[in-house]
Amino acid sequence: MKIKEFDIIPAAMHESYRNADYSLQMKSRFVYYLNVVMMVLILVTMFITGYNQYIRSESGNLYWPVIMLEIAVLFLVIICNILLVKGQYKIAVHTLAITTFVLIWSAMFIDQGDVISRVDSIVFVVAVMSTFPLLLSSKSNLIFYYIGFNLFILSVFTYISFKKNDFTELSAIDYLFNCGIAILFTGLVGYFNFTINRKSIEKTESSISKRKIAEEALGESELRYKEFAEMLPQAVFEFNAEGKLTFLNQNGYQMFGLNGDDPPELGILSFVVEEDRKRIHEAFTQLMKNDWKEGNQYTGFRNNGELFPIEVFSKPIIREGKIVGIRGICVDITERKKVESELEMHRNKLEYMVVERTEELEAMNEELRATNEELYIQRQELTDTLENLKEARDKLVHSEKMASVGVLAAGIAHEINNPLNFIKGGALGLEEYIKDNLPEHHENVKMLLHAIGTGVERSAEIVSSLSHYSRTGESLQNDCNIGFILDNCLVMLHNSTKNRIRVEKDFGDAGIVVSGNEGKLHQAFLNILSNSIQSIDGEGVISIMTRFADDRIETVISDSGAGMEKSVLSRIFDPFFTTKGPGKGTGLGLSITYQIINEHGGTIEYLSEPGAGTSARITLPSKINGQHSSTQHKSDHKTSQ
Amino acid sequence: MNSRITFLYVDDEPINLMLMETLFRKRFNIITARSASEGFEKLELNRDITIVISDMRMAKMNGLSFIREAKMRFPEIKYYILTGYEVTEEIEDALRNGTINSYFKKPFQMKEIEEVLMNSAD
Repeated sequence: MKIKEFDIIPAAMHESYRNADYSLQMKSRFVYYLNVVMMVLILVTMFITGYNQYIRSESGNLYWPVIMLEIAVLFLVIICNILLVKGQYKIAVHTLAITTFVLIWSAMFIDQGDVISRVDSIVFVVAVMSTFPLLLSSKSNLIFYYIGFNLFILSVFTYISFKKNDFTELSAIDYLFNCGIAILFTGLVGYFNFTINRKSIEKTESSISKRKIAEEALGESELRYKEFAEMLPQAVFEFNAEGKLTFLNQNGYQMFGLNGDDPPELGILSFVVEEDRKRIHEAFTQLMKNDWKEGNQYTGFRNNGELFPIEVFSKPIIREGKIVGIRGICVDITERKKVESELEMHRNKLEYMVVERTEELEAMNEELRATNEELYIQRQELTDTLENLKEARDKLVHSEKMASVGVLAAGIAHEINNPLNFIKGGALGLEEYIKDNLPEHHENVKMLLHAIGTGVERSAEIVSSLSHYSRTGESLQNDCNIGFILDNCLVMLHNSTKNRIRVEKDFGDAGIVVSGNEGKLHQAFLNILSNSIQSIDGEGVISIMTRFADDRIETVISDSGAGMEKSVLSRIFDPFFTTKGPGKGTGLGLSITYQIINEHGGTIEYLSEPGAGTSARITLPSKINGQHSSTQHKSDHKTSQ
Repeated sequence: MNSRITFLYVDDEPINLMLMETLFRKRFNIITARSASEGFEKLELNRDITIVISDMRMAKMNGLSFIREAKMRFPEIKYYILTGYEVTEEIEDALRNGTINSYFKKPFQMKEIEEVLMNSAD
């Protein structure tokens, strides 16, 4: 602080009170000046009182106690100032106060001069009391000590003065009372003054510091906001109610190709392309009415003329219930758009691929289904083939059986015929001999010889039947009229059928001819007819029917005989199987028939029901143009069973 | 004067030869041979043989072979086969192409053979 051009406050004091609050700084300065003034006054007083005493006393002696006192006081004031400069304000001040009071009261007590001026000096006390608000820096309660002290000294002073001088009791009391009131009043006022001031200061300081804190907080908040706005990778903006830009973060500058630190004077419309301006204006207007939609997309307009897609999110700024602008972020969605379009492309491609794939799969599925069906059909075919194979195998087994029997039969036949020949020949020879030489015995031996002959014949028949199996010699190429053959057989069997069995014939067309072996066919049909006859016990009917059936000739021979059980029926073609008694049949008849029919490429089938008769169905491949041809070969006359 | 037919019977089984002789000597002139080679001999010696009946199965040369050769040498003779076995294709062929006139099966039917012998004279 400077007074005019120079500063009388020493630098040391500045230093001491550098960190003190403003009021202390001011107070300390005041006290300093006060001290200086006091020092001057004391010196002046010393001089005046000294001069007065010198003039007054003839001896020219000074009244040393007063002078000493004044010197002491001066000394104390200097010390007080030094303390003050050093920063010991409280000590300095109280020292000063006490010194002053001591000085004043001393002066009042000691000074024997003018009574009026002595008692009037009490005003100094009051004056000093009045400085206390200025002097005190903290504890204000000390005032009461000073008040008390001063009142006490006052009382003492009043008493002594009253005693010493001719004051009336009343005036003394009056004086005491007045001065006491003044001191008390000044002290109290000083106290309240100081206290109120201090409290006001405290309050102000508190509110200042609160404001400072708030300001700091605000500053921090603003800083945070700014840092935050700068930190976001998007552009952060604020527009005022007129649509003018009031804030833009660094990213915003970059995004829109602007330079500078202050928001350029740009309206919201200038940030988008022509086509989008109407839309953004509408959106802005809506925002200002506190009605917004999140995330609008526009085409942004960069300062250098480039266009880029943006997405804007903003909200209104509300202050005291009024909308004063908008704040938001703007995202550069170029990348996202690119990615979106790529994704779309990929998705389309994928869909396309899926469709393709689906079609492929469907096609494959169709193929598989077709294959499956084929497989199913094939399986069916395989099953059928398996069935056929089984049948064929069964037939083969049967054939094998037949073949082995055939081989056996052939073997037997080959060997037996010769011995049979011997027997026959021998028997014949015997007969001849007896006829010639012992005619009278001929009658007797005739039966025996006949027996031999019959035996040979039967054996021969058996052998012949057996040898049939390996007989391949006779031709199968001749024309055989079925009707003719059947008639022949009937003739051969006439003995068995006459008067007993009625034969019904239905031979169809006359030209029913097969290509084959007449003898064998005779044999075949003979066996069948023979069996039929034998199955009829007593009277009955045999019906024979032949006709064309497609490219085959069908012959059906039915009888009204006993019929057969299923178990018998299944074995009729087995070699050596017979239901007749021993010696009545070899059981080879139908197996031979079966063989013969097979040889001719035909089929034979038996149906029979016990008690309902039997029916044999024979089919043979027909010759296309049937013509008789007379054959030269011998037919087999031997009948078989 | 000699209206009896002469025929040759060839068979390697002696019993058969004996039987044939016994049975047919009353009505026919029967010459026997025990083998094909003997048969050729007999044919050479007896030019009035008009019929030959031969057994099929013989040790060295079978009946058909014998007949074939004999037929070449003696074509006017009628040849017959007598067989105790099956009528083979060989026999059938021989029958068809006329090598043999017919065949008989064993055991033979006397009447059958007699008939054929009698008719062959015609």
